[in-house]
Amino acid sequence: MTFTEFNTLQRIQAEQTLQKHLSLFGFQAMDTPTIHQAGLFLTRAGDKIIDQLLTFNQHGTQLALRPEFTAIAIADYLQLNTTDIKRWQFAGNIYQHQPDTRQEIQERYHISVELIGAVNTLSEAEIIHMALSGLQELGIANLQLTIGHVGLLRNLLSRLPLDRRTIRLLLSYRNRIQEENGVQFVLSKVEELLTLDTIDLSPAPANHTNDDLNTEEMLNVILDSTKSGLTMGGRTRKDISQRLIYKRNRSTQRDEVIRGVEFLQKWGQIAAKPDEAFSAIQSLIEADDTSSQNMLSEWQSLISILSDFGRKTENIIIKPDLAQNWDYYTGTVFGITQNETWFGGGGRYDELATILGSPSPIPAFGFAYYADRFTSLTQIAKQPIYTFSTSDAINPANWLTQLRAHHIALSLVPNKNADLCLQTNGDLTYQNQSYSLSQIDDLISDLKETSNE
Amino acid sequence: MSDRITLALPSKGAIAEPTYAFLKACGLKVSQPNPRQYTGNIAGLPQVDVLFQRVKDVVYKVADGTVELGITGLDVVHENNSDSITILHNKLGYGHCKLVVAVPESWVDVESIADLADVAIDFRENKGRNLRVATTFTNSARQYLHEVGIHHFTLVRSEGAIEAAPTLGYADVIVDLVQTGTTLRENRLKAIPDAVILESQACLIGNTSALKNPQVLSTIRIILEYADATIKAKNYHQINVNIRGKDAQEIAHKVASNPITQGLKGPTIAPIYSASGDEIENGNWHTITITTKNDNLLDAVDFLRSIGGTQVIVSPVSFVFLQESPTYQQLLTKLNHRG
Repeated sequence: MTFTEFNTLQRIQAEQTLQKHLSLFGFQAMDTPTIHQAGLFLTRAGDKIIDQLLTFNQHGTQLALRPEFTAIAIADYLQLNTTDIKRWQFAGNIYQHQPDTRQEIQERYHISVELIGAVNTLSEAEIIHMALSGLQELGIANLQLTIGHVGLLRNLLSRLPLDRRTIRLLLSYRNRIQEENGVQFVLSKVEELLTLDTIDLSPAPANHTNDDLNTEEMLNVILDSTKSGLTMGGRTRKDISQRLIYKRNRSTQRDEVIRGVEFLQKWGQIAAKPDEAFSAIQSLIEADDTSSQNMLSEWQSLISILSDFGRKTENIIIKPDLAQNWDYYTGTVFGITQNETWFGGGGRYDELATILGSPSPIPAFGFAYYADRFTSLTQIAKQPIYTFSTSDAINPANWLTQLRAHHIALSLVPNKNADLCLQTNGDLTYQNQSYSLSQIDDLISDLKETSNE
Repeated sequence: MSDRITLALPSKGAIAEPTYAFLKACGLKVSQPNPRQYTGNIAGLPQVDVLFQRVKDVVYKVADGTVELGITGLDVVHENNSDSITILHNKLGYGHCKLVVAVPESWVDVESIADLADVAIDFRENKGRNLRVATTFTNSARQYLHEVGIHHFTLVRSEGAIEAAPTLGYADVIVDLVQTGTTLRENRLKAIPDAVILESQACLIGNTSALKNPQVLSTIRIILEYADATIKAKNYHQINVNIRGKDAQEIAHKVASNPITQGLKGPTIAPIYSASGDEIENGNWHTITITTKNDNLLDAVDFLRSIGGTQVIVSPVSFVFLQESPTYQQLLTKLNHRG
């Protein structure tokens, strides 16, 4: 980013306006270091974060410049060892490494909000409304809100008779399915898994009924006899034997896998105004699936609450497949755009806490403004800085102190063409009019009148 | 612009000696007057100075314009992709190796990259950490793993003994170059069959800006002409065989009746004369010269024998120059498109 004085002023004003706005909703400003242990970010979900992490090694410890605030917020919350509800806001630079671009190291400015400890439909709607109204405070209009849902996707997939691994595999190919020839590509990949020959390690002897035990025994024999077991990478023999059993049984899942791929394709194609989109989603929910039905109802309720907050549905798009990271978000996800430029986004991410070491999920909802994308649109409030010159024989300290006490911004300059000129008799001239120190109120009044014009 | 052109060649490693051998076969023998110095020359290219560098440094120096040309491995060029490098010839025909993903042999359940994608997610869900991938090719590895749908991994950059990383415990899998696969096997690793990131061999590269210099382009043309001709020649042998027949036309007809003895255009036929200048006794002996592909050599010899050929002399072919160097023409087309 190239900075100019104007850019900087816009950024400062945008940050101040948004911080004030966010605090109206109870979000307390927090500071956080720029540099953290890289592991904090390397374990969290989000391939783009991992791919673009800017790391360095300091005395054997791998450190990273923060790529975002969310993981930091959850890590700080876990450290507090509390169950209190926290509403935090963060602002500052985040760093990304993008080796394929001209500017490999990208420094961006984010303002981030995290609600941790308790989340419901009302708080989600309130935060989304807050995100939109913050931008409107900056004078930015014509915003579009797009909302998706990761939790409903997972729930619907869990209804298919597929094991967890296969569902996970399909989800990892989710984005690819929507690309040209994507379905064929994914089906071919899955077909490879379904049809590859697998070492059959369990010719079950008559007295063995435990499939797992038999496979593990045979694996031990093979690994020991060939000395292949000398190098295990980070896996155990049990990891390998369990996966072998899964692979052996997977060929029975072919039809269900195809159904899963077809479902994901339909899911990814929905992007419409709420009524139309919810109708399409409803058609994907089976009649006896009350759990998914409840999620859909909550989602519809979210839109209804947003409407109560004044958010018109014609500016809302329901796009169920919005989230890039399926294993990070767990519920509602949303993004704010203007003319297809993303100004911010976020969602529900209960499972991030477990990824970072919590024994159980912690409800959390947050978003980030990508501030460097819209601060140039911020309307600058008029804050003039008056130039002040003084003749060498006179000490201007008194005038300067008193004017600044009245919030008049002044900049000392050497030349005589300044806005305010201190004369040898101690008077200050402004626009051909002289003022003594006792007339400072008149001067201030005239200065403010001129700045309002 | 200077009149001198610098060509960087690998100073050590598996690709160094084959590079000198290749250039020698091209008729461009490399000399290093002082083995302690890093400079040399090429007899057939008086305007060229040779600079001996490590394989990676060849790429860096071509990229930053310190040298105009270089020969190095395609794997290194791919890893250090830059707009300031133009690949002039991507298949010099030696230094073959593959950049692959390799896993411990004990992972008998991993037979494809899709299996590895599944295991990567296992690591996250069950072990709470990312799959660790040791490699010196961080850019190539990262790009490939994302392309095949593996998004959860940590790259462990290592400059040496990559194959030992899983045994030593600081990585789970590796991305590394393999030639025969022996080193992998000895370290109890196996390459995943469908996880070949790149098939590499020696390549000729040039600094993109330097290509605007006519003298550089002229030197490149010479190198590419010889390179194309040498590479093409490797596929052929020349056969000289004596055959007796009614006349040259009859013999030509017999020889050309088999596609493998038709030669590049057709057989060359010359009559054989005795020392006195008369026709040899039992007359009508002719010498046939054809060029045949190496794969067909023995079949060609057998056929020529069957039509009466004897005293078959086979010679290697040094160069096969076509009407123009195809690689040089492709380069010109590419440069014209760039404008």
